[in-house]
Amino acid sequence: MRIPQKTAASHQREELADIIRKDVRDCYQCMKCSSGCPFAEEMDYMPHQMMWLTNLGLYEKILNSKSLWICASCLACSSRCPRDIEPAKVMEGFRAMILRERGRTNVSPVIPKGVPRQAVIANMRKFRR
Amino acid sequence: MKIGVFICWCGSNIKNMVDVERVAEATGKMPHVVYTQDVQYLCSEVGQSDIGNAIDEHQLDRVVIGACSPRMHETTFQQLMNRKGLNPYYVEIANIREHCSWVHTDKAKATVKAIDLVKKAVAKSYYAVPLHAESLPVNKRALVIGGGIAGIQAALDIADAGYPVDLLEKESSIGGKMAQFDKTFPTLDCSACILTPKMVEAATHENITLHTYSELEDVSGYVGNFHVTIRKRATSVDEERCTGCGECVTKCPAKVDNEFDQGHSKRKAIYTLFAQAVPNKPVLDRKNCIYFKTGKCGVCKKICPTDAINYEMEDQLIENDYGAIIVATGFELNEPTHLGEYHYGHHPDVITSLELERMLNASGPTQGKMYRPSNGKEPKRIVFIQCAGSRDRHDGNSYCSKVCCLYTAKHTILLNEKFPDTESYVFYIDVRTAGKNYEEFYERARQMGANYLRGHVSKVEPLGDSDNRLLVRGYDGSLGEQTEIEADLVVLATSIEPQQGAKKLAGMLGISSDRNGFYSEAHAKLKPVETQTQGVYLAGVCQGPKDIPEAVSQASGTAAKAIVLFNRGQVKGVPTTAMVDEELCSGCMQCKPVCPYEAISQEMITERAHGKARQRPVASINRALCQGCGACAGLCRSGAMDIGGFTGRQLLAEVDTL
Ligand SMILES: Cc1cc2nc3c(=O)[nH]c(=O)nc-3n(C[C@H](O)[C@H](O)[C@H](O)COP(=O)(O)OP(=O)(O)OC[C@H]3O[C@@H](n4cnc5c(N)ncnc54)[C@H](O)[C@@H]3O)c2cc1C
Ligand code: SF4
Ligand code: SF4
Ligand code: SF4
Ligand code: SF4
Repeated sequence: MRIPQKTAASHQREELADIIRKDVRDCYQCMKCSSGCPFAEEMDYMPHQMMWLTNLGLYEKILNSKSLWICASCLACSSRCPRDIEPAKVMEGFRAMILRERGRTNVSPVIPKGVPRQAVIANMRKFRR
Repeated sequence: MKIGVFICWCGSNIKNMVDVERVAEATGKMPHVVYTQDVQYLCSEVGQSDIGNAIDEHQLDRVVIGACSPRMHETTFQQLMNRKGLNPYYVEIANIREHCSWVHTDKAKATVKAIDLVKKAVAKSYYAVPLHAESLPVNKRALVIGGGIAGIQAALDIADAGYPVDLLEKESSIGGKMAQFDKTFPTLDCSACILTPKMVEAATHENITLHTYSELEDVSGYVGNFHVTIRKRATSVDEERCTGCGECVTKCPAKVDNEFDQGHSKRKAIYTLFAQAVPNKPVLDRKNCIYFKTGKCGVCKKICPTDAINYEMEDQLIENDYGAIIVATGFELNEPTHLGEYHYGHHPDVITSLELERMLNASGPTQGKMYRPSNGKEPKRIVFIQCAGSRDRHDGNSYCSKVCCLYTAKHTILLNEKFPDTESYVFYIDVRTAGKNYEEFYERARQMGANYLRGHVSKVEPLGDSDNRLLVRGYDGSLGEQTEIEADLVVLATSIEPQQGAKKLAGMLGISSDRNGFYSEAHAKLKPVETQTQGVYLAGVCQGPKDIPEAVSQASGTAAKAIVLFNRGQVKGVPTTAMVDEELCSGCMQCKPVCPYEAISQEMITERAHGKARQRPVASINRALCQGCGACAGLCRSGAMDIGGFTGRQLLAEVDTL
């Protein structure tokens, strides 16, 4: 990859900051989020990579990633991050940006058997896995 | 002769592998041994009083200890002997821990070995002779070599204690590297603002004599009594007359690259190192002076209002005696041209961190403005390459330069502060921030926008575009992919290296260097500012890469050592020195050249043979210089040379018991 000359525009950065109210710059890439994420193996960019792309300003890669929709919002990452970044919240921020723009919420399920995200979360919460 | 043998358990350290009672019992049967005891901890107060009581009760005159290495507790036991009125060299230690219990796994065999080791020590003690250290007077004046922050601090501390100090600096001003910096991590103090007051204080202190533009010519002597010759190079400017008005500098027509600005500006042939130089008097660089090259010019001489210019001035040799020497000669930076992959020296926009430091400095070549050397434009995207030549066994130095992680963080912060629309990318292997408030500083750098990419850069190459930019090819460990960045400026965190002349200086001072060329301290943990040569101490980066706070603390440490020495007023020599048996010595003087401390000289003695007095040469030892290394004793063909505490007779007795 070559780092492009133009990265995320300032209005995009502001929009994200406005939604998540977090400073992703605090992330020191310890990768704890990814090491505990139950879906990391299914993702094209793991949580720590999503944080890093955020800092590099490579929003396009994030907005086009599968990871945003694979993330189950289980909050494992957020509960463990030593820098309090709350990656789940950051991802939610990007999802919100997409949804706002697309003006619709029907995003196709990506898990093979078609299980919607919410069901997975419910399952996680019940069985603590 | 009454010998007491004491065997230590060292808790379980010895006892678990050695049957201490058997050792005591077996050695108790040896001739002259009148008392034995095994004790849980010999070094403890209880253990010490056990020995003391036994000495009193049994009138012991020699003590043999079976315990840990004498390196650990020899002085503990020697001091006990002293307190009991016995010569400290009447205690003999057998190392049954490091040399026995710790390295064996078979208790029966280890016990046999421990018995042998203690028996050996008993046999050696039969032939022990009392040894005395000589007291020598101390010259209460210190020499500090190197006028960087470390040298300045050491000089100030010693001078404040009331002792005279000579501060020797090879450049025309004191200050060292710190004088070149803009701000300093981790507090971003302005470097000059905190350094120049100290420079001025050193120059005006009643107890400090500055010798700038000077180098060490020769050293002889020993702790308390060093005799030193200093070469003060000819500056061609009469210090007494010069008022520092700078007229000569303004008018001098000869321009050369300014080393202080890393070649990013020009200076004159007659020049002061930098604006706040101390002393603030110019020196004439004869290599580049038109008058010295062609015999014509002489502008400075004509213009000088006080007639201070003296083309005939010669180097001066100054001789002085000192009690202590502090070495604070600092470091040099590696010239990274050998790392071809970074294109340094081939593309003007690949620079070193020190060059960047000069650019950022408000009194630097650009008054603090950033520019690309290729086209003078302000760089927008800057890539930093860490460990450029450090931690590199292949084509650099294998050690870590220790300060570059932090100063690079500093550079990104300063850039983001002064030029908010620059982007900085830092390629690193590890970011090392061990130090108070350093992690927070690194955090601040990231927060302010520095992008840290984990991975070493493989190549920097010209992009070939109209802007003459560079392409940095690296790897981003977070994304796990090769990453390329088009950069306007590439900054290399080059490796810190010992001074070119470090070896030569070490030779003159009789100190040693480690495998990287930095001076070796006497003990990595417990003697960090001392050297193997008594009276010579180390401060600052000459001992190994370190930052300013560390250099300053170390400098104050050396000052404390010198002050202790001066307060005491005398030094005790090593008692275990060489001794010449004049009757056996044939005067061949083969020993003289092997002595690394130049402690051996020839002496004439008068003998009576066949009723006639005749003169005969023999070797003679200067006990103040001799360090007891034993080189001469091993070499002497007539067996005339012995080392106190380790005589040939004692060593043979040890062998004979085995
Ligand atoms: C680019 C860069 C940025 C840095 N930034 C910081 C920072 O922000 N904060 C921080 O804490 N540290 C920083 N450091 C580290 C700092 O430079 C050192 O810790 C400090 O300079 C050590 O001082 P010193 O007196 O040991 O050595 P030096 O500063 O090198 O001084 C040694 C002096 O001895 C003189 N000398 C050498 N040999 C002889 C000789 N044979 N005879 C007489 N004189 C001699 C030299 O001319 C010099 O004046 C930085 C280092 C670099 C390379
Ligand atoms: S756990 Fe937190 S600090 Fe660590 S990589 Fe993930 S987001 Fe960054
Ligand atoms: S919230 Fe999303 S990113 Fe975080 S651990 Fe759960 S699935 Fe992974
Ligand atoms: S201080 Fe940092 S940049 Fe410098 S050599 Fe050590 S690890 Fe590399
Ligand atoms: S013991 Fe070593 S230091 Fe002493 S005189 Fe002999 S060679 Fe020199």
